[in-house]
Amino acid sequence: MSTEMHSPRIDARRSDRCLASIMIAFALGALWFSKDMSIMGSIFPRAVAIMVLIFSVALLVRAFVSRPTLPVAEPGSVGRRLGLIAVLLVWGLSLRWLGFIASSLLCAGALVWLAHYHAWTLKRVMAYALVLIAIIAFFYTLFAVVLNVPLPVGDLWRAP
Amino acid sequence: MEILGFMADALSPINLLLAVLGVAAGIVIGALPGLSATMAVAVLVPVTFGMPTEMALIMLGAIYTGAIYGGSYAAILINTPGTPSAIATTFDGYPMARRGDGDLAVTLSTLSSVIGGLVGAVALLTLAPLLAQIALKFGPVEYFWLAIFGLTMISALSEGSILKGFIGAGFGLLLSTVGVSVIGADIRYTFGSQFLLGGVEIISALIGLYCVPVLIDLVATPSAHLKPPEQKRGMRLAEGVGLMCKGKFNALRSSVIGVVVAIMPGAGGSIASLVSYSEARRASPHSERFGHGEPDGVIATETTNNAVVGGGFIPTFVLGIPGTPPDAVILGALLVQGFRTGPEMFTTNAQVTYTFIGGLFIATLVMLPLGLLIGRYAFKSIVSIPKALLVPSIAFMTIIGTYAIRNNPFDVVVMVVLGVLGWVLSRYGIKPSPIVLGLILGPIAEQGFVQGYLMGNASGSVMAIFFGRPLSLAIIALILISVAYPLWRAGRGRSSKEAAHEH
Repeated sequence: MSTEMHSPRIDARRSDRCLASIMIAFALGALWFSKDMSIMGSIFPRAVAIMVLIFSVALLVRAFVSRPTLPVAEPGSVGRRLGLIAVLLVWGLSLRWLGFIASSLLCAGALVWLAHYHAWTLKRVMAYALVLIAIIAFFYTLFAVVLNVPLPVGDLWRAP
Repeated sequence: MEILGFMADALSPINLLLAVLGVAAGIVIGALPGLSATMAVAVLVPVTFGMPTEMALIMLGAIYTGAIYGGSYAAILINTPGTPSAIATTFDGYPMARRGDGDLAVTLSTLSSVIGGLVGAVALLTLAPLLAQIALKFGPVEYFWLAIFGLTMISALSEGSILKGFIGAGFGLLLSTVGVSVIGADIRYTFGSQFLLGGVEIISALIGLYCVPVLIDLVATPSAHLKPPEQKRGMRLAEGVGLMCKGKFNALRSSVIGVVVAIMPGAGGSIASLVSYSEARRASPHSERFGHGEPDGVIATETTNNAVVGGGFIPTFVLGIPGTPPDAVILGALLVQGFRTGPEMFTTNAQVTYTFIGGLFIATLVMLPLGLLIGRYAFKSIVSIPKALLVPSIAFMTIIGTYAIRNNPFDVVVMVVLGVLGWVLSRYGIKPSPIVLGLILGPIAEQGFVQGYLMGNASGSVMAIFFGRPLSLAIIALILISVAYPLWRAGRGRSSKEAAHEH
């Protein structure tokens, strides 16, 4: 049925130890920050944090006493992945300052560049730019005009 | 006979036109990540204010049906649930699309949605008053146990390690506690940020956890997003019908689950489809194929979420308690039209109610040709779009969809951060589904638990409140069965393997 079902696996002892340690710290943090809450407000997050703590300790113990495995992760360019994350974060953070249209044009353009693996030609640049502008224009009209969603104009463009 | 006459009124040309328009609009809105069925209905409610009640209800029902179905397109083709009800559709729909069976997955989703929708409408027609009385017996404690029952699905949703599944669910449950608590109004885990006071928005979290990891992996390699079909093979209707016939019990069970969960106010289509997915996996002789492109997984979730449409109208009409969030919007529209819900919906206002149910049947049937047609082109277009355009287009839809939920740019940042976190955790073996399950069930479990605790304190026995009510005991029995059955089955599988080795 699938290729993933029989994909090669790797030793997960180190990654499981790492994951368990992070989750133990996370659960302890959740417990620590619940100390100032009322009983009603803290009973549920505390119960869950203790549950996470117990399961994480069990995972840590398992990573020492047995040999867990994980499917091999999808390979690929780390640089492009980090680039995509950076662009998405910049997109979210710049919405208020640059406004919806400017930030979308800039960030969507950056993503085209990141996701393209072939040689650039002038024709291709023009075609992609036109398609991208059309998509942004369509969704802007749909959301801002038809659905009346107040999309950010951008503090940068407002008169002081 | 009178009822049939009322239902036949839905067949007037204008009602048919409204049903077609409503379904088409619903499919388009539902297919866009971030725009849920609730939003589709809410946005288009004002259009119906000037219409007669029957026409308004037919249009709203059609939009709702179409939007729930439309959510499956994004789930299958880009691994992002278009609506929360389509979360479980991503589990098998997307792997099917990746291996080149996206057209079959869309056809199956269409057929399943039609069957689920019809079962839901039949339930609304025949069982409404009876089922609504059962829903009334559900108190906070029953909801708490129901949420715990939901959490037992982790064993079915976690791929690989169940331990990691529980850690993921705990992470999701803790995320659900961020913001102002429902009972006690404590401000929790906001670290002084006013943006986090409203908590983590579920739909932004869904978009982030499911869609951002896909984008991260999409840009990393030059290979195609989905495997293009090797030859022209149309919409693969005959193959889809064949699979539906094979999975008829799965479809029936999932439809019943959809109706039953829908009559419980507040539970919603996302929980119903997760329950039915888990049950389909448990009951299947090929449970190991689930999560890797098993058609039965798509059938189970898509039948359920459309059965929820008809089922959700049962408490809405009979009790005036909306079964699902879109029902709440439709209830508001009914009030604007001057209608009071309650038993009179089936007596004094029978004409309006039964014409609407007739309209729901028509909208569901209209979905078949419309869905197959739109689905065919949706798959073809997604396959043929170059990656350099697909990545920014999906990213753009996730950004605008997330922003539009609360008109808040901070939700976009939370979506991206959760997406990156989801991708990292997935590399460590924690899949997004248990996290999402925790996020969805967290508020239901917490509210039920704390309210039950307060009731128990007031009545003098917390234990009697949690363990002394017949409905609670029935759900606890279900929890025990759902935990014990996979263990018993695994044990039986091991002993039969050992027996085979001995021979």
